[in-house]
Amino acid sequence: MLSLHTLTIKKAHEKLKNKEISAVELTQSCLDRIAETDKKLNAFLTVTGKEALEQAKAADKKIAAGSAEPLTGIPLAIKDVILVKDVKNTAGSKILENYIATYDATVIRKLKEASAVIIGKTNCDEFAMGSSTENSAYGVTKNPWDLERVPGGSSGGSAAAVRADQCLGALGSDTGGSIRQPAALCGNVGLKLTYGRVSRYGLSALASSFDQIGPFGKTVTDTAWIFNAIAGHDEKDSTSLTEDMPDLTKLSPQIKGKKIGIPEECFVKGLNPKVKQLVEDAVKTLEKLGAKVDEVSLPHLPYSLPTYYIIMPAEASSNLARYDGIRYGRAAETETDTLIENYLKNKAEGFGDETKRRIMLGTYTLSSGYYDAYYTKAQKVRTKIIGDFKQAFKEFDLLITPTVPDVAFKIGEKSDDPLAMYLNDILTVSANVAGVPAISLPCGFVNDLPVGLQMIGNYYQEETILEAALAYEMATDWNSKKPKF
Amino acid sequence: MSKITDTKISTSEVEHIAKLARIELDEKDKKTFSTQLTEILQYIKKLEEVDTDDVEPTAHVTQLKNIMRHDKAKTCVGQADLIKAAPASQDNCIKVKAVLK
Repeated sequence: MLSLHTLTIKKAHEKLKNKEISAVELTQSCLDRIAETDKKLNAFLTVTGKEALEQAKAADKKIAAGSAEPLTGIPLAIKDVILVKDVKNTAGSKILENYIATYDATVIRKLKEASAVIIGKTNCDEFAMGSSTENSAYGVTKNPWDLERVPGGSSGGSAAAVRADQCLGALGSDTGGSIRQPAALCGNVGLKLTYGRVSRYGLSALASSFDQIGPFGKTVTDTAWIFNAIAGHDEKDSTSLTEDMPDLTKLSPQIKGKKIGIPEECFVKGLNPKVKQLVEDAVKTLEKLGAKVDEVSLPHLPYSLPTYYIIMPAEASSNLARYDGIRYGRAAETETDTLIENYLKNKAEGFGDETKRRIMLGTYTLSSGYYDAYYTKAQKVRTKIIGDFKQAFKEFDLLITPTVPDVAFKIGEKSDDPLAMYLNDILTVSANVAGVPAISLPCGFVNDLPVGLQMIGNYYQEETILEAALAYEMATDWNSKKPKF
Repeated sequence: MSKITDTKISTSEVEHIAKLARIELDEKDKKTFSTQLTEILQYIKKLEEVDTDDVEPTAHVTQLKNIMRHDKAKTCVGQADLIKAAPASQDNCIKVKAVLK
């Protein structure tokens, strides 16, 4: 039998609609693949096989009734920071090791309404803090291209699961690059949306002014289809946008005449020359397809990462105060007499080092006497960064950079050096700081490890970058290369 | 406006911050965090290069202003499920340690 788990969403949808395959067969194929590969990969924290097969049965009925939507019967994996009712949600943290979600996140409600199949919850850095999944309390996820390397993070489990064909697509969350960076390091397509495109209701919050849930796909079209299903205003997230969404299920390639800007500031120190070469080759391909390319300067771009490392920990320290080990989650094993001692122990035992580091950094920069020097200053620089993007988008339709300065690094290589780890986000973080959409898609290989190309679009212009990405994808065949895993 | 001046975080400052954040640390952690936080703040200090006089701080990236809704009662997650999620409960209440010694 054809390995159904290797199908793209689009292909599977056609086969489901034509009754060539059933959603139950497709789901079983993914579950078998997980059973066969996940001991080596560690992409999943929870596999919801029984529920998935029930959802698949319901999807088959819907298909038989002739009302199949693009994601009906499609097995998807969900990052373990997005709540699925009655399923464990650890957020990669020990403090939530026994937490069962009491409700569905809005994106999950929408996926269920579309009769998508939720196959399980994927590994991630604790509370989405990291670029490698090494900060997960449940062990690192391996990169399917090289099991000694990280898959990127924080949504590393989702990225690895999609690339290893354990599912057809996945959801992740992107606060500073947590979808695009692992997408690049695993060789997937990953999309970070305009801030507010997708409801954050039911997402374990890291930094609320940056966090966006978004899709991983094997192709640009698959990614657009998932985005289409989860986007839209939600009264449960007052920051979700009321702007109209274009229908992205009928995406077509558009690149002719588009103006592409190459920010000179993105050629950072530490950029692997081979990565640079591949990105330049990709730009040449786009030029051949009819795009107009020019250099552009966004002078405040180099300040995105320090700005982020003030505002993000500040928001994280406020958001994570809720994990007290009293109302839900894990309580400390050490017995204490008073409430204050109980808090101290719960957090000491429940949180990992990176989480503690960011909580303390945020607590410090928000504390009396330091607030203006750090937090207010960072929000002012943020205004300048937003200004740079607005200026650039007056002239250009999209901007192109490498997604990550280098290929996937070895497990353990950066785990003792937080700053070196943070620098992995240097090219992705500016899109979060400004709130603009950005996509990463494969543009080649260095030593058999995938490299990602990043396209950044103007506010609400996901369609523009998806159309350009599709044009590039159709002109190349990087997606067809699979890891020998 | 105040400036980022000293970026050195001593172990006693780490101790103070950890107390504010309600995280207990051992001596080894305090040392490690002192070095690491100092290094991170040193990197962040780069922001001082940017002239931000007369610049408004960002409040929201897509310039949203207050979003209002009607104050209507709605159903929510059941009480039983929420109590069940707590590590300790008694008589349908969440159980906590003594607040006063």
